[in-house]
Amino acid sequence: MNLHLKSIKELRALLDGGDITAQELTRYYLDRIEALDPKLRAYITVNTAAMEQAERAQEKIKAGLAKPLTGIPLGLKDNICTKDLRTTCASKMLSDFIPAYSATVAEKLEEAGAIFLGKLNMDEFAMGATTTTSYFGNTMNPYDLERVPGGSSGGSAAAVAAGLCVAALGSDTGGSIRQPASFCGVTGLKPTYGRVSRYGLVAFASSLDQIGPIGKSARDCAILLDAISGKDSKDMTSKESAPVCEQMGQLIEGKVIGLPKEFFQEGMDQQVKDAVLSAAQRFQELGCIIKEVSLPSLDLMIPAYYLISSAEAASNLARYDGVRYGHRSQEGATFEQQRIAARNEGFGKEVKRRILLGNYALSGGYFEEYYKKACLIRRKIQKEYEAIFESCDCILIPTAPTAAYKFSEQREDPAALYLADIYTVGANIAGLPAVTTTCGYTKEWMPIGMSLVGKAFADGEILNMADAFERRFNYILNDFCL
Amino acid sequence: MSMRDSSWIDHLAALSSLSFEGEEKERMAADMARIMELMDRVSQAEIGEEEFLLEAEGSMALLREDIPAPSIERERLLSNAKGRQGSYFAVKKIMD
Repeated sequence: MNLHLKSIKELRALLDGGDITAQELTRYYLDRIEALDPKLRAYITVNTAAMEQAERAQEKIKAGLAKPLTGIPLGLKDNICTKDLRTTCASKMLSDFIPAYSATVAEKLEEAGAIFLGKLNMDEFAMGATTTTSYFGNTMNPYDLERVPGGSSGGSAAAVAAGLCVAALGSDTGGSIRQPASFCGVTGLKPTYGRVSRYGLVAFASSLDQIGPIGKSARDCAILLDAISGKDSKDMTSKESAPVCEQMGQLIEGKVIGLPKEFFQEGMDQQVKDAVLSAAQRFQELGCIIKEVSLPSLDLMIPAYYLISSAEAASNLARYDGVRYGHRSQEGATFEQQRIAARNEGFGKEVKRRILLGNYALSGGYFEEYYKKACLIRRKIQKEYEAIFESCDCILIPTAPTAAYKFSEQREDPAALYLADIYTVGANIAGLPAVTTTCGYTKEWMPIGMSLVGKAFADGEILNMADAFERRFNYILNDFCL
Repeated sequence: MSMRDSSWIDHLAALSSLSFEGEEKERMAADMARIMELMDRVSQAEIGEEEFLLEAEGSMALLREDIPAPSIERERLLSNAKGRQGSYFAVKKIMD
């Protein structure tokens, strides 16, 4: 039985019907990880306590106390703290860090009876778009092992695509769930800012970070989202929100979808453009109305995003000094010298670039010119989205300018890499929900992703639209050989 | 600080509790110069500041009430430290 091809709902039926046990399902996935992960390198740490969790889940199932995720094996991005299970952030700085507490999302999933197969690879401190900045080495794209899986949640997306977990959690600060999900041909949601608690997520840019699901379908993502959403007294930016699962299956006829003209201009791969415009036509076939809209400040999105996120990162990463936890250097005669040496040795090149940029943007004489102005541009962009949503239900855009590229084609210029985030950062800047799903393939059979961006807290609405598209057009491949 | 060269990197490194030497410093200076060309779009942008200033500054951080509550036990919090003395974090000397 190809259990790794089954949806959460199908597995739920098998578990509740007694066709399989949670232990059998967990063992099935652990065996797949053992056999296939050496090729893919999606996992940083495999959870040795997974079988014990499965036993506890099976007891709940037998007692008739199963919830939607009881006994379902999941993976977690390695920047989500898990008590007693190593959480590295893919950095030398935290390579042996064992958290004393779990993130709220991990607690919620454990309470729901989910099983943690392990911690998934990522770009160091979630800074990157290829998973090549990980201290633990690259993850490969399961569609083509010579290609990047995207990032920063590249391990999460690759593991879901390759059937090394049923679904996974990632985090998204500027596209880190959506772009890898798009590169690996799976579905990923960046929830509305505030829908999911950030407590226990290793902080990158606190006003932009959001934890979200990556799954084989929009329906799987909806189940995971409902399990992790909600107000949390440990994160004062979190809010209560309506469940999304009950919105799945609603008719999407009459929905107005905006196509921002600026997003379909230069720099986009023709195959991506064709696939997304063809998806717009398919939405029309489903009864939706397509309308051209405008986001005039698109050119300013990338620099404004990088200034704000790097300024917040510089502040958040100032805590790493090797004193209470994290890498401690053997160099340096004094405390201050040792602290600098710990940071020099513990952080990789990309993390250092972001810290330098952030401190520059916040420094005397440059604060007004860069950071403050970026915050004003952020507000301007938020207003442009608000204007679009006065006449549209959501926006349809590509998820990335290209499909997954080869490791050998990766660009050395960091600014060129930053520009590739053009389609994803807007949802973070404006705090809006955005879902990506597959809308086609390149001639080399690499998946192409499209994104639907919705109004704040309309996560259920865009998931339902993605679900309607997935079920009608079935672009998602379910199996391939590694 | 108008020149974005290696001395500029020294200044940024000092702000960041990092240090760079030799080739690494040269490479970082080149990378940061390219990144700043992109960021300069923000400094050069013409934006009606007044329109957005009040709204941008009007958002206040929400804080929960400061009520004492049980915390994580001390031993667990000390367990990730590379240097400790009893129940203290041990570090190299701070002052001569």
